[in-house]
Amino acid sequence: MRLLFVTGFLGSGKTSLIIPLAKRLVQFKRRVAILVNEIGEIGIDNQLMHQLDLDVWELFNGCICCTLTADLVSTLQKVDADYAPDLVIVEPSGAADPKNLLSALPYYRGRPLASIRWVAVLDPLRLPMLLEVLEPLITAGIRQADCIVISKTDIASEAEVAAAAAAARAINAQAPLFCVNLGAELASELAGELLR
Amino acid sequence: MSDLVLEPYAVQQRWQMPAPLSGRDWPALLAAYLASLARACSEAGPCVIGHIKALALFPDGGYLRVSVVSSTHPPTTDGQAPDGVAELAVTLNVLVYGLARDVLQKLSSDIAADLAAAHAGRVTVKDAASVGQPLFPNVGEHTHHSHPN
Repeated sequence: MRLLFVTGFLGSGKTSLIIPLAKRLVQFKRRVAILVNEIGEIGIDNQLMHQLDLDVWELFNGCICCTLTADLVSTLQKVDADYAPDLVIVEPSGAADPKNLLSALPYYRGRPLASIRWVAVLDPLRLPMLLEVLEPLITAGIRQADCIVISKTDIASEAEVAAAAAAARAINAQAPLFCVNLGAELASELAGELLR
Repeated sequence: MSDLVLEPYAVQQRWQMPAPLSGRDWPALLAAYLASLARACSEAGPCVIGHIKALALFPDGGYLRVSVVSSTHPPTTDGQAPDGVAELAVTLNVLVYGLARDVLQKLSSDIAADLAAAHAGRVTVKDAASVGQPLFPNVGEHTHHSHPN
């Protein structure tokens, strides 16, 4: 079983990345489980994924980086035992700190994890502002990432995308970086990188 | 800005129009709603808009999702509404750092009412507590995310 964490601030495009990726894998007969942790009192992303016939588990009543870290582990184990997915995609809330998620994983006791990948989705329209006002949270996600996705290239200016890429590179120079319009078809190169 | 607290507000709304709208009208109406709501949040005090999103699901498997992340960028829409629908059940999720839940509730309610009234319609609401999904009781626990060192 592989594990893919899709991190990013609220509204950065996490769900817009996860849906086409999961759909693509399902088309290829892969079993994909999606764990969604939303902050709002009524989940929207999980409703949408259910409507699209994706297999979704919701983590409510808290944030998986603090109050729900134990629930993350127990849900992973339950999904592994009941569903035996090839891939579990975890969408933490946009306010979750990745390092707290990392600290929970050693307690997982299901099938061995073939890989654990982290992708950080960044909104170029707001990244400079967010780095100013929520710096530790935003940089933690970028630093942790194995792959960085700059989203919204359809509405951001070239300068905004370039600035976001430079800011991300300053924090994490190693991770492959993709600038994409998540409303368009998911590029094979990006999908391949996420599924390594 | 370093002490902004996130108090999520969610609600289920029922938008009722006097006559069926076209599939193009509903996305435009909800986009106008979220744009106005984002502007009103920015004018209500120091805040950071995280995400304001609305979702309507349709029996045929379709959906309409509208989302906005700032007061200076227009909302984005995804999916579509069928033609000839006069009522729409909408889930609204308002995630704004720095504004209290009661402020978000009033802004969401007042702007929806005004917009619907301009089309001779109305909006009724069902708060999250009565919707049947678990609440998110410890919003205060998220203050740690908004405290940069």
